Amino acid sequence: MLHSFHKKYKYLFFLMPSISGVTLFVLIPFMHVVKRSFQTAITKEFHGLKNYISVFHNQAFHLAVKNTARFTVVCLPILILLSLFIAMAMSQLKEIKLLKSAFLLPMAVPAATLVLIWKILFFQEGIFNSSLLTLGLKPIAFMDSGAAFWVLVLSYVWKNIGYTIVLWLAGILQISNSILEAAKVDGSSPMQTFFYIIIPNLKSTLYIITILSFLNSFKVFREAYLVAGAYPHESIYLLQHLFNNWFTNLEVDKMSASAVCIAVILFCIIFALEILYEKDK
Amino acid sequence: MREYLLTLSQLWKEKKVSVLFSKFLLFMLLCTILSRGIYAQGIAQVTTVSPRKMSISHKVQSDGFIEKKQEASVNIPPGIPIESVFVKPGQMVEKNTPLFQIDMDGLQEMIIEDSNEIEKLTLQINDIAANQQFEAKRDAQNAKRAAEDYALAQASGNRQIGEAAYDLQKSQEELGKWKDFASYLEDNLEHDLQRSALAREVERLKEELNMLNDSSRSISVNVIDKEEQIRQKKIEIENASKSFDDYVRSMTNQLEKKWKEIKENLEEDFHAKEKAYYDTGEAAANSLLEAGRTIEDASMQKPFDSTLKIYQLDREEKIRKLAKLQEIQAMGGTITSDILGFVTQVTITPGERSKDSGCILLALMEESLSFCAPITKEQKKYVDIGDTARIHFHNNRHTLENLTIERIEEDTANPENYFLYTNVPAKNLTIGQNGSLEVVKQSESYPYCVPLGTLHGDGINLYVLVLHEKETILGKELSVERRNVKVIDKNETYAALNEGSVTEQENIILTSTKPVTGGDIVRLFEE
Amino acid sequence: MLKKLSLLLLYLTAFLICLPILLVLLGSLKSTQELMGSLSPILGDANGMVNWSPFPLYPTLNHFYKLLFFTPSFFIVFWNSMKIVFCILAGQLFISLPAAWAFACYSFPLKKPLFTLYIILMLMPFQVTMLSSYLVLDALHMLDTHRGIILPAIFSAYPVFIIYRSFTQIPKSLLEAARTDGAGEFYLFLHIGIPSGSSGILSAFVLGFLEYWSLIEPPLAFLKDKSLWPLSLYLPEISIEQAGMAFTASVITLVPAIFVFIIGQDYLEQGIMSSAVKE
Repeated sequence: MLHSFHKKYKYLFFLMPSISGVTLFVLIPFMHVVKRSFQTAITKEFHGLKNYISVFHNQAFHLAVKNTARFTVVCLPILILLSLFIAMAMSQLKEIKLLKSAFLLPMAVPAATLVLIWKILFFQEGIFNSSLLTLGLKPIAFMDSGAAFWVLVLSYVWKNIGYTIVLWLAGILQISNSILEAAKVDGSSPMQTFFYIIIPNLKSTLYIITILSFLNSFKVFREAYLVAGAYPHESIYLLQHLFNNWFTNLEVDKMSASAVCIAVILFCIIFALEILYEKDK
Repeated sequence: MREYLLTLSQLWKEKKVSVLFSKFLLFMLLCTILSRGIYAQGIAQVTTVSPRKMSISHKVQSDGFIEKKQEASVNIPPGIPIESVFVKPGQMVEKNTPLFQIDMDGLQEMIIEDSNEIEKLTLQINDIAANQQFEAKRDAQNAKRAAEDYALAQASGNRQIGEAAYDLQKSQEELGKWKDFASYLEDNLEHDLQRSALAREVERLKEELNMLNDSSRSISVNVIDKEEQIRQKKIEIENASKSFDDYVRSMTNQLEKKWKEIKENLEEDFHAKEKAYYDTGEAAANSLLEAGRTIEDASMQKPFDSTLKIYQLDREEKIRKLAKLQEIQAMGGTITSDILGFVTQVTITPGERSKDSGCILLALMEESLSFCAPITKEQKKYVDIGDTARIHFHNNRHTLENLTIERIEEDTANPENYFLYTNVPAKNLTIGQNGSLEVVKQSESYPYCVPLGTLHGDGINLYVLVLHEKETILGKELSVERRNVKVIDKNETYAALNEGSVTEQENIILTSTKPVTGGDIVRLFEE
Repeated sequence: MLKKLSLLLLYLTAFLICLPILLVLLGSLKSTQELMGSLSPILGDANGMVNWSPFPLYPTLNHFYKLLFFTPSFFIVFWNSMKIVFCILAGQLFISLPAAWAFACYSFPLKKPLFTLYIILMLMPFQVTMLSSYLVLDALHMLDTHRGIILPAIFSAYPVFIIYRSFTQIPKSLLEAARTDGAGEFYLFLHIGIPSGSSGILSAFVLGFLEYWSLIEPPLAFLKDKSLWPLSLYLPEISIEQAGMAFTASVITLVPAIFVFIIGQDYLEQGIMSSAVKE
């Protein structure tokens, strides 16, 4: 009796440390934030939904949300497709150790180092521009125009292409050769094979990749902040910039309200993804 | 097998790399320590002090000596013969010690002489006094007379002037009244008989003529006769008129002359009277002036004559002198000292007479003597009257404390120098003894005093180096700030800084192993 | 033929990818003069474009010399980063490992929602919970300390997720067999789970190292004391005027990451791959 009881609850033993920590450091504070989202910043009076309303009307919030969403919507597909393409190419090869290392290397580069490289490459007078000049083209003001957005996308892709390729490769190589052989025999072209066999098998890989890439897309804030500061060019003013600035200015009410909003949105997205994934299983 | 080898080689590679990694970390560790060591060597080590509240003491030191505080001289009136002297220079005398003896006979002689002199003077004085009185009376009389004369002169003068004025006025009236010539003429002529006779004659003749004229008409007389008669009448009239005119003319001339004469006389008279008036006035004024002067003269002060006063003073002096002599006489002629002192000079000898200047000079040996020390102008800044001083005497090796500066005088020989005087108790000390004077003046308490070693810079632009705690990546380090200060007071070891330049909590660099400037990082000195 | 071409293209792409890293490496060997000369347009001193030659004209180890021997502050931040990373990884060992095991091997009520919760938490950008974390840390007096950075990171959901994936590969039958043999749960965990999932664990650590080695947002928000800063915050502080130092410091920052990467690359790949495999 005791044994089974123990067995049943053994999992708790394993789970407890993590859960307690998470509760203490994440859940409870977040509940507090939810509470604060209904209060004014300093005096903590009950403020109803006013914070939410002010957030929804906030220009900066709109900009940040728009930019962040735009970024995610742009860079995710680029990354996923590009890496898939490269992974497909690599899957045909034998000795790919070096290549893999090469592609994975950017992962190891700390953000601060990356920023240094950025500055040299992309500043108004940087290397990139000087090469453009030598080619006879006009230099682009990277940091002060919409081009900043693309620089950010580029750095994101650069950093994450490595492990995405590895993930794809893993998924691709998982597909048992027998099926592929069978397809070949059946006379399907590489294209057909690709679309009808490979892709369906990569669904779970896609799920993982999407989630991880989505997670990493938020990390571009680091580079953006280090290069352009708290108030960068419009096109790269992300949610994190907004939050960071609110934090510095102690605008707790707006922060709490928007945090709750973002949490809800993310929750929905993941939930949707989860359901999609489950459906496909 | 192959997989096994692969795994092995993989593991071995991993191990190798891991080893390399740990070597790298060790290397980093080494560098950490090394870099810290080098860094620590590189930064200067300093010692610091904090500003303290204290007063800056200024020490003024000078070698001086005990001088005679006061000399008293024992005097007697000059000219008195001395019989014997009892003391020598260098001798200590107490109160009532006999100093010298006077020759009593000589003294007596002198007294008699002086008495006579006084008598003489008294008589003289009396004479003069009497004379003066007499003079005074006479003067009074003169004055009186002069006043009377003055009054008389004044009265007489006024009277004369009045008379002259009256004469003048009358003369002026006469002159004014004197008619003009025409009316004069008219007056006189009118009443002149001859004129009127002649005039009548003329008239008669004229009438006769008329009658003749008239009758010519009526009767027929001889026309020629008539005409002749008329002609003759006309000639008669003409003659009569002519004589009338002549008479009138001559009368007029005569009268004119006479009128002129009278007028001139009147005018002369007037002028004379006018002149007489002025003369009289002048004369009166003069005599008044003279009388006035006489009064002035009479009341003028006598020229100063202090003879009397001089004699009186003389006399008084002589009386005093006499009194003194009599006093000495009464004392039996022995002069004693009335202070505790030290004989410094004896200027009398037996057999001779006393002189004007002091006979015996004594230096007061009271409880306190005077110590004199020279100081420079610089030093004078720090010494005031009333400051506490201490003197260390070299000979008997003892130090006197708690002495007060009595006075400070300028040295007339070198104007930049001064002399300090302080009273010292006479115990165990002699005049002329050398000692070293020290005045320690505590200035007011300054809140921020630092040792001189903390000050840097030249003359005007002075600064200190203040430590600040600075948060760096290495933690709390000490950085140096250069701060400009002003020194409000200083002596050889300490300086007082102005308000607001430093605070008590701050640490100021005193010494350092390397030169430091503002902005440097330093650390505290380790033994 | 196509293969050769695609191989060539791939190598080219790979080379391009690695180019920026080469830039930094070579730049660190350039003398200050050369750097100043090349970079002066960015500094605003000169006009025109940056004139960057790929190889240093007069290569020098001067910067390394200066940085390694004369800059004690660098080492402080270096060891700060090391300390933070290793503490986090150690902590995660004890926290996320059991949690992943629990999720992988047991079924219990609320498992799904809880796991979804973990995923959501994992995906939440730092800024969203920044405020609440700040308040908690303040209440616990852990602001401006290393603990304040380490502790929340230990409870991160990311490693749980990755290790979970590798734990799910362990066939349940194996576990059952062991259980019937009389093995306790903990024994199972220690002697079956951990060895089997070692690749996943190691990959979580590698990923974790790389992640926390360049952690910026929490230290930026929660650390005020400069002496507590990690390397990732120190680097941006080096102005581009001290370009030589900046490059050198970047290189040295890279070194541990590269080391870890090399050592753990296989595990990394395995871990990534294992998380891709279907349940």
